[in-house]
Amino acid sequence: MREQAGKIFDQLLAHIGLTFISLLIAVAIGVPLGILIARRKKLSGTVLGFVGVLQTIPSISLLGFMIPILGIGPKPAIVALFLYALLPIVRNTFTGIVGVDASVRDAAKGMGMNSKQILTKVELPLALPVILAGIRTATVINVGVATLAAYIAAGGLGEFIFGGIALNNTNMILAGAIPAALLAIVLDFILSKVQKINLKKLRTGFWVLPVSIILLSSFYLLPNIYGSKMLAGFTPEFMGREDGYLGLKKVYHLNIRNVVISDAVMYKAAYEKKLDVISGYSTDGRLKAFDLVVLEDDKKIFPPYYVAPVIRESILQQHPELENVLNQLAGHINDSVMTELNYRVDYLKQSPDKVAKDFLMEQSLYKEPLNGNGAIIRIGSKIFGEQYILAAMYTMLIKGNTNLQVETKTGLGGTKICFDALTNNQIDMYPEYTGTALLVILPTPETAIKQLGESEQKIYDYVQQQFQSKYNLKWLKPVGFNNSYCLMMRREQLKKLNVSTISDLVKYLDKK
Amino acid sequence: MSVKRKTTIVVDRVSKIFGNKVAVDNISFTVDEGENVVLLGTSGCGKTTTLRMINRLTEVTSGSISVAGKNIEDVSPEELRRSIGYVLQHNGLFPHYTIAENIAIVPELLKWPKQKIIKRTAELLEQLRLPQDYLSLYPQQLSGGQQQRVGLARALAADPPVLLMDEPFGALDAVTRAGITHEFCQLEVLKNKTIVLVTHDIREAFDLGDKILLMDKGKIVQEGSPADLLFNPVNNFVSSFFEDQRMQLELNAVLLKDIWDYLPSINQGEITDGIIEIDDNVWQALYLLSNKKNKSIVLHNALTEEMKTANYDSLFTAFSDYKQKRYE
Repeated sequence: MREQAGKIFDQLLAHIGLTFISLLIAVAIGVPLGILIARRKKLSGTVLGFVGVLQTIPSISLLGFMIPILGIGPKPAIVALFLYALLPIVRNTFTGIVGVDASVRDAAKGMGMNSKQILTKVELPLALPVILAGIRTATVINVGVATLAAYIAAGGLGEFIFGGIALNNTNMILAGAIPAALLAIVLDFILSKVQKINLKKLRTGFWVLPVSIILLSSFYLLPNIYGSKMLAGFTPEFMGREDGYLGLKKVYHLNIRNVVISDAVMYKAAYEKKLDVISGYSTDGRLKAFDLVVLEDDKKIFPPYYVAPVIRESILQQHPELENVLNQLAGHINDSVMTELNYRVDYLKQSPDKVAKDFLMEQSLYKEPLNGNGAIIRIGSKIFGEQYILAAMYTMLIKGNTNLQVETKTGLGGTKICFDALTNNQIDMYPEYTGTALLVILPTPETAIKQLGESEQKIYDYVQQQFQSKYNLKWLKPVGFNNSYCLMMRREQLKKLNVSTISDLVKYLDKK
Repeated sequence: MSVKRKTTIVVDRVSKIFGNKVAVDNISFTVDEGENVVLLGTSGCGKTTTLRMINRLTEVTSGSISVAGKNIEDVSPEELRRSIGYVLQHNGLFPHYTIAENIAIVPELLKWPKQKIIKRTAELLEQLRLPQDYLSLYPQQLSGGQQQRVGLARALAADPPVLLMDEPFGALDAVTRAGITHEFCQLEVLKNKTIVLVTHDIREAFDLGDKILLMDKGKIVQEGSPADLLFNPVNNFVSSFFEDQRMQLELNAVLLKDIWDYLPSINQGEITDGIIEIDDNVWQALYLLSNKKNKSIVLHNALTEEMKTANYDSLFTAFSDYKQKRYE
């Protein structure tokens, strides 16, 4: 934590830099564009419509679109932020200039000003408060959207927020969220003051503003991420975990340039050679889709992650039949089966329901729903394919074997959100992994972890006992597969470098 | 009045067509140096378009206009406009400029030296009877009438020989308007200017115009002095245009010297109560009479040093005699 705390200032500067570089570009392009469409009103509908559409693209998917074109890191983040900042700036410039009193413009022309003089001496100064309001809106939007830049390895305060959500670490979330919120408030306040200084002084403000924007932009010294031999991409969660990057450094002495990146775009980035090594899950369907290979964990730092349904004790007491029904799945799915199922969902884009149903039928576990009218069981899941499939399977098992009803609450962000939902009685059960429980949910002391070693049974027992006593939650039987953390690389690069274990990779990296 | 003056503005067979609407239809007129010409008509008659074509805020569709002997097409629009004063209905003062800066716009465009601009600004403020400490104020801190005067000062800043005024008092309330119109007639700085003024207000046209061009549907219906339009209307449109205010307009348009010959010679022994010059009009004489106890005043002919006495009866008799003569 202390190490992370030292990073807050750096990430704050990176955040300010990201915000203002994109803002600078947006002002440089947006204001002239606004002036152009104010002069040629026929264009205004098209241009405003276009920048308006840009605004409606969800930020994370816009970042996703950027990766094939611009790779990962600051470039796509800046472009995406720039696109978001465009609408308020273009629209306000247009509105501001069109809103200049017609008689004032007429007088300027009648006095013998040419069109450039009318623009610089009359239209822009009079439109300035409105233009500034647009820049102010864009700034606040950008501070918010820039947190998402952490998803594509551009840094910023988002790293803490996503890391914190993934690691069930509230302090870490706040370490990102509070400075981001303060930044938005402070910038908004400063710009509101700039907006209100009297018209006369605005002429000086005209120069102060671009200069300060450029100054703030320089906070973001573009990290030289393309220079090194290999580049790793790790999720925010992986970065902060003992059984993740911290363990890699300690046990393997791995020293590799790395960026923080979202799980959603990481595999694709690896496939497109933007990244060489990524963290991931051993049953991820994208392993198959993008032809990636898992590096063997020869020093065993990644503990086993066996999945099992975690359910509230009180629900089991009310509906004891649930235990047997849910345990039907135990032992049916191994690693390669799960990878295949994930592949169908993540890559072949089949619905999790269809994949779940097909599998259950194959295994003769499927029964037509009884459409009972019993109590409602609320099943949660984290926000990725595997959890959706498991949630769907449990739903079908419950509906087919009992007269209970099921409500699914899929897509609960990360571990923390899922677990909090369970303990706060928002859901009744969700599939959890033993390793996650051990290292993320339970603050397990390091000595206890050492004692447990790699024994899957010992870990399962420990976790089950802890959950029972601390939270009144029960772990049912494990499903069978082990979705542990792993490092993975492209198959051809792995072959070329003749690397198969993490130690091999470390050796290769240390060679030069 | 017989002094032959130079012609300053020549409008020659000018038309303006917007899309398929004819706004100005083949009109011609001239404005002499120092003359005040009023373009009068209802809205949409083409009077403002005509005015705006003179400083090329609107380009002519056909025909030609020359100002001070130069075809306006031969000068760049900016240069032309800097040499012609322009006063707008909604004053069009720059809200982000102080009064001083507003007045200095054209001199700045003409790149006058700083010192000269400061001197000229102060001078104009004085001529337009505005306090010097207004220079650092912003337009919105002034009243409507004061703003209009600043607008006039701005138009006069570079001392242009020609002024174009588009409903200069149109945005003011009736009381302010009457006051400023009156003041306007007195302003020394405007005495030698060639002025083309657009208005829809008949009183204003009669008060300010040496010559009135009555326009309708893009054409000049009649051109002449106020009295010409009143007493020799060319058609029904012209006579009906003035019908509502005819009596007052006529009394205003007829000068005492016009009816001099119709007045009885001096009536000895009459007790008079005031004196008026015969360059003033009948209305003014009646107004003076209405304020006097003895209902009789002296008319003074400054050229011949002759005098006559007049009362309501003799004035009205002479006035109607004069009118009959005019209409014949």
